[in-house]
Amino acid sequence: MSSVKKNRVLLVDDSATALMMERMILDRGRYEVVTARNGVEAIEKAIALRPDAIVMDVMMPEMSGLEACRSIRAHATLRETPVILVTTRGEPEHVEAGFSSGCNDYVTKPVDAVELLSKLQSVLGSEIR
Amino acid sequence: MTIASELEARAEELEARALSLETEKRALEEEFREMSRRFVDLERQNTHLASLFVASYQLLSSADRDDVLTAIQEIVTNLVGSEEVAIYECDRSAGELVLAASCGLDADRLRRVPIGSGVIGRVAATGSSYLVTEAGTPSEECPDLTACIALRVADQVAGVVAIFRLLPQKNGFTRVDEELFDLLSTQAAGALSTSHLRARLGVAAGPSA
Repeated sequence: MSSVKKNRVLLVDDSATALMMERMILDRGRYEVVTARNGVEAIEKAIALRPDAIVMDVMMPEMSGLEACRSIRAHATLRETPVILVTTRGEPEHVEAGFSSGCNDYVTKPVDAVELLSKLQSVLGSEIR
Repeated sequence: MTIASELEARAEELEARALSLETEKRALEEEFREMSRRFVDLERQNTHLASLFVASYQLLSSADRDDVLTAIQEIVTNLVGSEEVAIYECDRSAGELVLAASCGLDADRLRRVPIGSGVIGRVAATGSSYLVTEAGTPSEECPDLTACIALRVADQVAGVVAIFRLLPQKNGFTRVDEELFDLLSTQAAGALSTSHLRARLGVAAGPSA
C-alpha cells in the first residue's frame, strides 16, 4: 500500500471533451486532478488549492490561458507554479507567445499522452508513478 | 604461488567480474529500453481507448441539440485536430443539407448544400464517408476538405460532418481518427435524432453529468 503523496495538477479548459480527455490521461493513479473551466476560475482555484502544476488551454472565454499565465506569474504565492499550456496552434509565433506569457512548456492538440506526461514529469522534477 | 602470480590471478578474476557486470548492465539497459517502449505503447493504446470513450460519453450525455453540436465540434477540435468544421442536417423535403453549426469557416458560404451536389452533397446522397488519406489526393472540387462523415441513423443519412484543414501539427488521419469517425457516424446521428425527439415531445434535459 503506497502512501506517497500525489502531485496535485490543476487542469483548465473550457471544453468538457478536452477536460475529460486530459483528466483520463493524468488521473490513472498518478496525479490528484482538479479542474477549472476558464482563466478566472483557474486563478481562484490555484490560490485556494495550491496545485503543484497547472495544465491550461490557451483559447478560453473570459480570460485566455496566456492572460491567466501572466497573472499567475505576477502572483506572490503562485509565481513558482509550473504551467504547461495546451494550444491548438503549434506554429513558432504561437509558441513564442506562450513562453512570453511565462509558461514552462507547451503541448499541442490533439494532446499526446506520452508527451503530456513526460513534460509534466519534467516540470515537476519527478518520476512517472 | 608467488605474490605476482597471485595478483595476476586476482586481476584476471576482477576483469572477468567486470566483464560480467558490463554484460549484466547492458542487459538491464536493454530491458529498461524495452519497458520504456512498452510503456509508450500502452500509454498510446490507453489514449486511443480513452478518446473513443470520451467521444462516446460526450455525445450520449448531450441531451439537447446545441449540446450535441458542441460535443461534435469539440471532438473534432480536441480529439481529431481541426478547427474548421461544418455540421449539416438533412432537409429531405427541400433536398438539401442545412448548416447546423460551424467553426473556423465562413458560414454564409456554406449555409445550404444541395443533396447530391459536390463532395459534401454526394456524401449525404450515398451515405459513404469521404476521407483524404495519405495515399489519396484531395478533391479538386473542394481541396480544403479533408473528411466528410455521413451521420447515419439506420439506413438513413441524417446529416454530415465536414472537416476542412487540419491543425498545422497534424499530418494526416490516424487509425484512432478513423475509429472516431465511425463512432461519430453512428452515435452523433443518434444523439442528434434523440435531441430532436426530446424537443418535439417537450422532454426537458436532465442535469448534465
